[in-house]
Amino acid sequence: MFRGRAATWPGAEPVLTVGAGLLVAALVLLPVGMLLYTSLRVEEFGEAAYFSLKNYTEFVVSPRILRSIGNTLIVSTGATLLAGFFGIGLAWSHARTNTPGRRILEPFTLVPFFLSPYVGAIAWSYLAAPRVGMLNGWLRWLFGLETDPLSVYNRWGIIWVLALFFTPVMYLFVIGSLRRMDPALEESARTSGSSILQTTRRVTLPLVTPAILSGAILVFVSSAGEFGVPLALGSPFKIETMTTQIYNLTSGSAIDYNASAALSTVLAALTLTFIYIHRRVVLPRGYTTITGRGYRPSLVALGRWRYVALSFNIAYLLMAVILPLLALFLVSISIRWEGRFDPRALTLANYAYVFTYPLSARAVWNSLKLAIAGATICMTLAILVGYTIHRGRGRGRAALDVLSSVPVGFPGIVLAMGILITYIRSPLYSTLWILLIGYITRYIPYGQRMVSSVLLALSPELDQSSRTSGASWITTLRRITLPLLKPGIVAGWLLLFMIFLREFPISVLLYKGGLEVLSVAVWYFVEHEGAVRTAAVAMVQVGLLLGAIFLFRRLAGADELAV
Amino acid sequence: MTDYLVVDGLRKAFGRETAVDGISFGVEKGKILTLLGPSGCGKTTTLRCIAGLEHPDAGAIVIDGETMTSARERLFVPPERRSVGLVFQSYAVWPHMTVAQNVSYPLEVRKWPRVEVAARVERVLEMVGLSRYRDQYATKLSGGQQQRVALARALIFNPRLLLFDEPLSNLDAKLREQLRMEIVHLQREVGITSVYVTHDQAEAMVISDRIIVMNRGRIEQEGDARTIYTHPANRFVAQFIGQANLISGQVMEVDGLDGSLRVDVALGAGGRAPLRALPPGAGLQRGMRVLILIRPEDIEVGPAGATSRDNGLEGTVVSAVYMGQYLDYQVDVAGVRIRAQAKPGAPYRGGDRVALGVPPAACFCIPEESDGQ
Ligand SMILES: Nc1ncnc2c1ncn2[C@@H]1O[C@H](COP(=O)(O)OP(=O)(O)OP(=O)(O)O)[C@@H](O)[C@H]1O
Ligand SMILES: [Mg+2]
Repeated sequence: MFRGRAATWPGAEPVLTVGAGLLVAALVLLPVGMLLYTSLRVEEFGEAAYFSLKNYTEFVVSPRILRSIGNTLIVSTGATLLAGFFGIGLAWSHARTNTPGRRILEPFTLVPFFLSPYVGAIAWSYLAAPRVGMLNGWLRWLFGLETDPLSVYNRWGIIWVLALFFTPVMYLFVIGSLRRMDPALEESARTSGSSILQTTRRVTLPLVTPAILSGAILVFVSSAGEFGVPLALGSPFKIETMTTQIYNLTSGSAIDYNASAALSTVLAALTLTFIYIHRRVVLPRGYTTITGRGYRPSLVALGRWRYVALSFNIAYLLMAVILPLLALFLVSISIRWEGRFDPRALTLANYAYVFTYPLSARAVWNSLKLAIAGATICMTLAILVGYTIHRGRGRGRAALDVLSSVPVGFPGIVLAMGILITYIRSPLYSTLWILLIGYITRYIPYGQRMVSSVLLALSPELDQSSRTSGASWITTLRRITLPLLKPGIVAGWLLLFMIFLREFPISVLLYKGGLEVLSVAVWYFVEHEGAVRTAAVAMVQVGLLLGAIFLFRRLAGADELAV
Repeated sequence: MTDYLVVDGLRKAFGRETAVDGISFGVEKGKILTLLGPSGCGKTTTLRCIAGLEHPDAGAIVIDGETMTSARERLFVPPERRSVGLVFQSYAVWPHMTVAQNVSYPLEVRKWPRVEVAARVERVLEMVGLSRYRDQYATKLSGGQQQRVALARALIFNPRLLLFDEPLSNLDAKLREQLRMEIVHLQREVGITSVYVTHDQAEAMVISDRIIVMNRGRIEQEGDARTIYTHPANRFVAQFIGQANLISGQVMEVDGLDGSLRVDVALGAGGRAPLRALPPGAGLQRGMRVLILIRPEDIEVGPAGATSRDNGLEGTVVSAVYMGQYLDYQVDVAGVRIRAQAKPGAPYRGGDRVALGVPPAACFCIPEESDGQ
């Protein structure tokens, strides 16, 4: 029965896996290589370009740039400490205490993870800017103050917004570690005679420390690479960070790609160092404390303190989700905005404007197109690459693993810089393709990790028994591997869809007239259209993201969030 | 006659570690062969090479006269075109399919007509006793039932070869024995040529026509269960199969009449004792160093002083453990520890002096040179 069967195309597996591997390698290596190359070139007016370290030895160490590097370090450190405080507190109260309502609070705590920090910064400027901030108005009225008590237009403001939006990163690491911990570890401390609080301090906390370090490193790296928040809160007031300086050097009057590339390289070196430390030093120290099924760790009974814990939870949600979204919404339905919401002057005209003004209308469509195409292409590549890494036999699998995770270490604006230099003379530039390439290059690691984590949990023998049952490689992929990967694929697709819907730094660096996306439209409105219309276009993005979160929870479940 | 499955000079290394180190064997049509050996000796790797899941570094695999793998000719038939059924230790039943879907899969990918598939699935499920569960999701079943699904899935397409990789080792003892018998019956009934991998010697003895004992990627001995138990080729096989007393000695005399040997065995503190061994190992000569293998169940334990029998040894009981069917003695014979299993009728205790009787036919000499270590 079997010798008569037509042979399957023998090339399917090598062609697809090697092809995807080479494509990913090219996508990642080209911009990184071009970035380094450009940073080592000097082009002075009227002279031929030549190789030199000048960009580093003269430009990067100039006082103006050193100040921005200092700002980056300060805001990232501040954001890490504050996010650590929020994240650890929230995770502990959800996983190990009897805080009322913790089950309901848990999913809401993750919402900021999916929203745009850039839009968050704008929303916070409606809340706490001098003169026009709603909170400032209330506080002045409440305490009879003459001047505004709050201002977000400084380094504190940047730290505050960064911390609020990166708290879920910390939270996910810590709660994951708490949930995976074998309860027997804590129970044996209890039976050894230590109280529940002693146990928390002497056993639980040390066991969670590697997770806290992981979270801290990720928050630091994300903060250092964040572009939208310092752009919104710092740049207009001459508080520049590395990311905003990289951007300034590619636009306006002082364009210098070589200097920008050098600063990008320095920033990437900083973030990659942290990622490297994370992988080499922190991850191997992580305690693998796998649990049996259906356990319940003993909870710390907080007594009256549990209402303090609840208030802490609610305060975080107010600051990170409720107040910013409320402010955005109220501003977006106001006829004008002068710091006070006036219920008698409401309108939907701002929304009508957003959908009819060509730039913003175009931006909605471009974002949707890019998010759908980007997520689909990215996941397809991720499946092939993940499969090659974990199931393939060929050489270079380790290299592919590194290559397909390395872009995580590059801030969006840095990678965008490399992509800009690489593709600026190609026909792809000034088409949506360049944005698509930027999105995929930067976010292939997310897809790859989603696929890999599922693949790692699945025995390769499930594929192999299909082969020995007589199915070809392609049939096995279609009938066995892909169906088993489905939860990871769905979760990965939705996550990428959301990320692309709100993507800002890559888009703003690579777009041209006609290629605007939602975040670019928000930015354009900030510059040219005033508060109420800006709020409306931001609300459109928020609405799409909230819809996607809802779908995500329905389709993927909360467990898949831990990226 | 040529064997149905031929494995010739198979070698496979993972990085610097050689998992399979040049092994050759054959299996006759319709027979079942067991690869037996300790953990990490290369059994699974050998099996996976036969199935086409590993690319060996050297050697050839031929099924029914067709070369499947030949490192020299750079020939490699992919697993799906070998017609080899494989049953994994981990079951590897697909969690997104029902029992019937799992089992019918091999026929579907072969594009069998629907009606025939349904009929055959029904038959095979009946064979493995799972008809009741056909529409349940396979991973919801118990371990034993899942392994039956895997077995049905491997059998349904009438493969040329059936391979088992420790299929029973995740199951509890009772179930293991039951399924073991079922596998034997199925294999005989279908008459399918099989290779069975296990590290459980009892399982190997029940199941196989022939046994190959492996160690560190090599074959130590091949033969039927009885030969391997009574005539182990070397120290490794003797110790791995069953329990063994191994005492080193030297051949002092070969009897010209009945071929029996007189061997001086070395005891502690320079002491020696003569033992007579029957039947002779082939080609043993005077002066050769040998290991004498005595199985504990062949030793008789009697009161001290009664050494009228052949091969009497006197010693002191170190421990005696009641095991139900027998008493398990550790006896110290002039510094050499000897294990004996005797009828529970002879109740000696620690410290008692006893005489051990070893019939010459139960003493088997293994030449020291062929020692596997
Ligand atoms: N994919 C692999 N990569 C690296 N080493 C491997 C791989 N597969 C097997 N090995 C090594 O090859 C050797 C033989 O392994 P194999 O699985 O064949 O042993 P086994 O006899 O089946 O053992 P067990 O009874 O534990 O299943 C072992 O040392 C193992 O570590
Ligand atoms: Mg094995």
